[in-house]
Amino acid sequence: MKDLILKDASFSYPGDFLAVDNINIKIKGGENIAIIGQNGAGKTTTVKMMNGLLKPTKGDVLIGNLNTKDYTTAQISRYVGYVFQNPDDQIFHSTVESEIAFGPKMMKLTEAEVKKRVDNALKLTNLTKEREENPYNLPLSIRKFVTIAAVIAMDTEILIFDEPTAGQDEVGNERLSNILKTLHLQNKTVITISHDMEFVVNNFENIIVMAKKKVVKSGTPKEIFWDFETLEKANLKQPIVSDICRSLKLNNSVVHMDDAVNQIIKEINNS
Amino acid sequence: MEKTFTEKIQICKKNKIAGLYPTTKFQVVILFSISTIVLNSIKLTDFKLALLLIPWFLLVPFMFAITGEFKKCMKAMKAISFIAIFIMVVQTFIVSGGKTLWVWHFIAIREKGLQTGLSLCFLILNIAGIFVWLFQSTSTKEITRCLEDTKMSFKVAYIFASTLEMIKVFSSKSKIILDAQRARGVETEGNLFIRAKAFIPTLVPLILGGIIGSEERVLTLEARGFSMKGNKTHLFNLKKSGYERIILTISIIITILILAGRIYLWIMN
Amino acid sequence: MDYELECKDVTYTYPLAQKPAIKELNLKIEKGKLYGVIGENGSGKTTLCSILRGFAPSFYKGDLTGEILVQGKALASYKDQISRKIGYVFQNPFTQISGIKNTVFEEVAYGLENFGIDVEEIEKKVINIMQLTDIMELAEKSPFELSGGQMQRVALASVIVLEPEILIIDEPTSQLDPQSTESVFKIIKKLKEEKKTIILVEHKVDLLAEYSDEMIVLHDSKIIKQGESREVLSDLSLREYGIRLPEVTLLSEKLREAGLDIDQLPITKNQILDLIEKKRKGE
Repeated sequence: MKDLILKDASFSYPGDFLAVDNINIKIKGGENIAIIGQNGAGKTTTVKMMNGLLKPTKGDVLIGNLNTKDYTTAQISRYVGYVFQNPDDQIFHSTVESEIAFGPKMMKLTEAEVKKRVDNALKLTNLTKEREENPYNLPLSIRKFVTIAAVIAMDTEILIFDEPTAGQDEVGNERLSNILKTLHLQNKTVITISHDMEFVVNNFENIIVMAKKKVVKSGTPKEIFWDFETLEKANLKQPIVSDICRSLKLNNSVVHMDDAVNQIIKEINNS
Repeated sequence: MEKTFTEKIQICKKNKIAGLYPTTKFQVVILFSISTIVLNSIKLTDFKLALLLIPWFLLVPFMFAITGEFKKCMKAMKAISFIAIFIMVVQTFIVSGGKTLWVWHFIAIREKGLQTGLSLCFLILNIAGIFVWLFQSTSTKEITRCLEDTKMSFKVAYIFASTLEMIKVFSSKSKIILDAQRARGVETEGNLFIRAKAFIPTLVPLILGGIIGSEERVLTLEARGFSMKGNKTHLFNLKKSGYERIILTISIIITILILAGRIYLWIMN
Repeated sequence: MDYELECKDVTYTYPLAQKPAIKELNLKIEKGKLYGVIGENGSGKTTLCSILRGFAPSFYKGDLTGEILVQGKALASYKDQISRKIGYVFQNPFTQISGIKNTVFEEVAYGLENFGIDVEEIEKKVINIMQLTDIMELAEKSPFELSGGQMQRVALASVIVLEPEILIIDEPTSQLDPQSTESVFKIIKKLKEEKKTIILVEHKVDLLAEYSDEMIVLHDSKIIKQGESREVLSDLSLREYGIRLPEVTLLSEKLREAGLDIDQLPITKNQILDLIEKKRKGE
């Protein structure tokens, strides 16, 4: 399992616009991590450095012992998969199946292996029924799962999702949750950018908070969502359940609903 | 007093030539092009060369200079000059016919070749040059506004303006798409062959995205009264620089003189 | 009494489609209220919006039966004047930029230009709206240089400036971060205070619980439930239709399961705090 390390990494866009300022992140193989923070905090630039789309202008990004500076993005794509925010930036085949098979084919796998990968990815993303469809005849929220399947089929050790919850309904969110769980069980490293705090609390063990081009804090949901200084710095809000517990002056770092229920019942019985 | 926003968006040019009304500029361009074609038909020397196009071409940089946009225009002329000279060389050496003027081993210049080479080269330089002058000294905003004023439909004006804007958007969009494909293992760095392979994966999302976007854009424009009948207001208005009449008169006189010269030569021969 | 919008038995089918996208729609929209529209993706939310604005069938073509009335008169009878009555804000901020204006000021003014309003009047109105939507500092920027959240506020401003009495807003925040989402909702709240009638499609049901008066729930091209927000959003059976209920509702339901006696489930933070406060005091 490869660890992913950003060592004193900074990135400036041409014209000296600094987007990420000297960050240090270490993600162990098999971890699942959410990155949260306001737009413009540097989240997308950070994950683009993780798959080599951007090379740090200072510092290093290491995948295991590979330095991203020594490889092209296409080479790194064998180790790190990346799902873009907008599915329409990547889909160009006329069936769901061929779109998903594209990545494995680029890796020059045997036909049998390609088929196996595609079948697995379709099953995992619940798209088996849509196999023969033209992706552009599917609604945007389902097209997103086509791109997720396309990345899963590449069977990389590390997967990055940029805002997978945007535009998803409850059914889509659950589908996504299941995918993340399965990937976690398969011991993949999963890194997800999300604005949906409820989704983050329910799906991730660890969180990295970014603000103003820097990493402010990393830790478990409990450590993050009851650290008001960090939340204020990053201009973030507590999940609703935590916020209610805070208003009730229940002081037990609640982030999950079941904990909140226990706490509230206890509180009522005590008074 | 602080300027209102409406005042701030007006275009105010100090240079009176650059500030000419776009229609006047366009008329100048047409007259200049007509004159160029007429001059091209006057063949001089024993080899029948359209030599008059060469001094005529001096007018182009002169126009650049009096408009105060010399540098910007010359930059745009670079690529055009390259093409023009390339065409001249190719034509001169390839087109056969007429007397042979000069031979060196297997390379030869023949009369016909020199004629077409020279004339094509300077036709391109002159006509492209005057269009460079028009577009470098006039902003899209001015041209669009002018199109709206002519009897042409406001839809034509919209298509003109939005197409130019969309080209910029498309180029930034294609970068994102290229990134998305690189992340899936498409090589985009390297020799021409490798780059060519990345072409389809980039082009398809770009075009489809454009189509999806444009349908929604039609509706959003409609929601803001795009095809509303009746008079429209314009916050941005074109001003005349005051030199329109003089410039146009000079252009017409020059064109007439050239035409007269041409006719005189016909009668004399 | 005339409703702002009224649909009587409307069924609409897109061209070449096998099934209707909206079936047997009956709807009465009252003035000054905020209606939240929820439902799974593909349940017909956007089609509903297109029908209420008349884009379906006038733009999409297709087949529409039934009657749609705007302030008591047939929608079709308004012709091109409908854009003054009904404003429409779309999901994707980017496609709402006209693509031909150099500054945000001109972008917001674009609709007013089409309406032939006087220049001084336009200047005044645009400044007002830019203040309301908090985009004053962007006035001289190019619309293409804005972030998604800023673009969406410009899109809202460009529509509000036309002073429509009814606003249809289709998933305005699905591409935005929490801060931008909040600023969009702040604008919507101000519009509600100005007695505008608003129809808002939105997945973020916790925000709808906070802001909406009424809810419309769609499933499989039909309205399956509609009514006062508290009543609709505390209906646990909606979960069977793939609809997310507010966190507060889910939490209260669990409290009820744990033995707390709750009559009607709260849907907002204040409601649940009130409830727990009462229980603490043993009421």
